[in-house]
Amino acid sequence: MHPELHRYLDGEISRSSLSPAAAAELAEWEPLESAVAHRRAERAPRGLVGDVMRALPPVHAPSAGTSGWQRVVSWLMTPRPLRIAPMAPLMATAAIAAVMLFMPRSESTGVVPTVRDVSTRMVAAPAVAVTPVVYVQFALTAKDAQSVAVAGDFNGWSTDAGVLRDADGDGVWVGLVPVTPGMHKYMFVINESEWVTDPRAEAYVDDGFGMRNAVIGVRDPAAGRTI
Amino acid sequence: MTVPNDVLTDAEVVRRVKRGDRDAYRVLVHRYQDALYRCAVSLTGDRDVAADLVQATFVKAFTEIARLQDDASFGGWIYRACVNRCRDYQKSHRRRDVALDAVGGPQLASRDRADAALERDELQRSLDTALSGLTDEYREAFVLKHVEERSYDEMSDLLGVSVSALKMRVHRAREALKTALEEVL
Repeated sequence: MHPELHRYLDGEISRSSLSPAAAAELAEWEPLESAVAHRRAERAPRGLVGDVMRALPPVHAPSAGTSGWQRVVSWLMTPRPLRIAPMAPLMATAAIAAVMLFMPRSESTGVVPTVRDVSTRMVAAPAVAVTPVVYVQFALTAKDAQSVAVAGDFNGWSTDAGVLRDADGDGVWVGLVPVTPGMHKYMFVINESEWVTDPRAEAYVDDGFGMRNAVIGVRDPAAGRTI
Repeated sequence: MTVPNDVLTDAEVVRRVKRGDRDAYRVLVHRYQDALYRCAVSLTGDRDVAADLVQATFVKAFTEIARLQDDASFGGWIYRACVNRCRDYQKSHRRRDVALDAVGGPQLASRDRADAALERDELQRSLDTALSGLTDEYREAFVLKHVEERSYDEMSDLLGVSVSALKMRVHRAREALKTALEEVL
């Protein structure tokens, strides 16, 4: 194609400034331009908006118009940061182990605390049998970070629900986050703005937006398996 | 919603959605459905597939909207997601058996037909066939430039590719399309 024609189609020069040779070539281009213009006029099929809205999953956050009891239920169901002293999980584990040691053995009491040793040093603390939630310890080394949080599909990708702490200032941020059993996608959020993929995740999956989500499988302590 | 949807900016609507206002998302779907659909049709050459891909893109974006850092950038964000989804689809459903020679096949005898609508439809099909013969990079660049009429700067933001590289892709796409469609044109 004539270089001037490219420049015209790029909007850099006007049609009147085309040389006769380029103008002649433009005439050959116009049927294609006509087809493209027809494509420009296309509209999405009727009903697409409704189809999308019907396919949306339920939201995590309560809407402004919800009633009081709905807000209470939502508050109870929404994951939030839980501060636990480092000794607490150990003591809880020891307590449960002691109880199990002195209980008569039977199939119905064979609840074994789930302990996961994954690449990010995630360790699941014992879960309460009634509520299917496992407290997963997330850890990330981020030396110069001011804050680190873990955001995933288990907390609605909230950047302030799964806050990690670096109590001793060594750059290793750690936090226990309530997660329901199953496969979950997550990322770390540094300084409330920088999304970082866990470099030591169990697995990864493209997020469809140009980045990779980390994937973790959380075992159901009662069922003894990853859902 | 107490404020008319038309006066809400993308950032305002996105904030509502992030706060849990599910219905507010309808505004964004309505606002961007045509652009995404046109893009998907041009990139896949199949209207049914395009509608499915656009729907899936909107649903996925809804589930991950909390991760959108700049609420005002929703348009570019979802457009990029749509292009990525179409690209993935093309990779898994690449029609290598569609040769560009097919463009000059029997259907192009439409020049002799009096029915302008038929001729236009066939030109559309020829365009889709020719587009499907381009590489992903050339096809995306051409569609963004000529179908969506984006500036090179906008394209650069969307695709993360330099303006000069995009110009080269568009130019080469034009050359390839012109060659492929020569018999039609």
